Amino acid sequence: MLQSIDLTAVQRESEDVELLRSYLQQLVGQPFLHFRFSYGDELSLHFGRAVVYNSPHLKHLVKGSYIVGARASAWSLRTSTPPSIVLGDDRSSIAPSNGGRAITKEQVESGTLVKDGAYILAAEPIPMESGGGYCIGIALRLLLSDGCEFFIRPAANRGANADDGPADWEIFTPHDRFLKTGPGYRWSYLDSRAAASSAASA
Amino acid sequence: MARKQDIRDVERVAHQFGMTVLQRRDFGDYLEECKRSGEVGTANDRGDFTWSELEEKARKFPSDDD
Repeated sequence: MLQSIDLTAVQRESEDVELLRSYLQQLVGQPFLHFRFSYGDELSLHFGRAVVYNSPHLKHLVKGSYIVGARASAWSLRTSTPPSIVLGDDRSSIAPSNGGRAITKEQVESGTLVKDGAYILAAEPIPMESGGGYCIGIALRLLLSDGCEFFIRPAANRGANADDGPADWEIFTPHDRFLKTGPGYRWSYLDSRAAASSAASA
Repeated sequence: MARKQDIRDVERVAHQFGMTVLQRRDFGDYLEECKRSGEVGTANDRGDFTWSELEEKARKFPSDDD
């Protein structure tokens, strides 16, 4: 069956993971630009076209037309050359004697972890069960053409209120829309020009 | 690794100052750039911002053109 999805249409509060997978296909083919840590040490991955910020305070920087934000979720990056895993997860602490070494934000942002010209080959939502310090939610897997794989997994640090806290992860698109996931299997595709809420970005 | 409370604070101050979701996102990058350029806050040794300092930054953060 042939179908199309309007990437400018809003989708509120769905739990349809297959529909979410369809929205994520707009990332496929988008070239990787850079990593950037935002305030609170949130890792963002910039893809697509380099665009200027609207703010003159940020005129010396560019951002991606697509931005994946890990919010406060755990993440990992598997690199291909050299083969390694970079972890952004408070639950992981690997002793140097076991091969772990500290890495700085600047080293992640340095541009050496992902090859020039790499682009997204696959973007998949993965429903996760709770356990091992992680909660029920939708993980995100991005596979890049240079063999790197980026994974975001919602962490089990939500408050007693299920809606407490930021989204599990977000993706800003060039269509004035942003995708946000959590809590649980909920996700929405909303207007990024709408007013920011005081709770999880809606 | 990311600090959930700091991310929440950015969301709260963005809401308070009527930012859009996109502005809130860029505001987080602006705050980090302030820290990198030496404009640090006084909340802790990392140079994070107190609530008052976040409010001051939000006042300075310009709106989008449209």
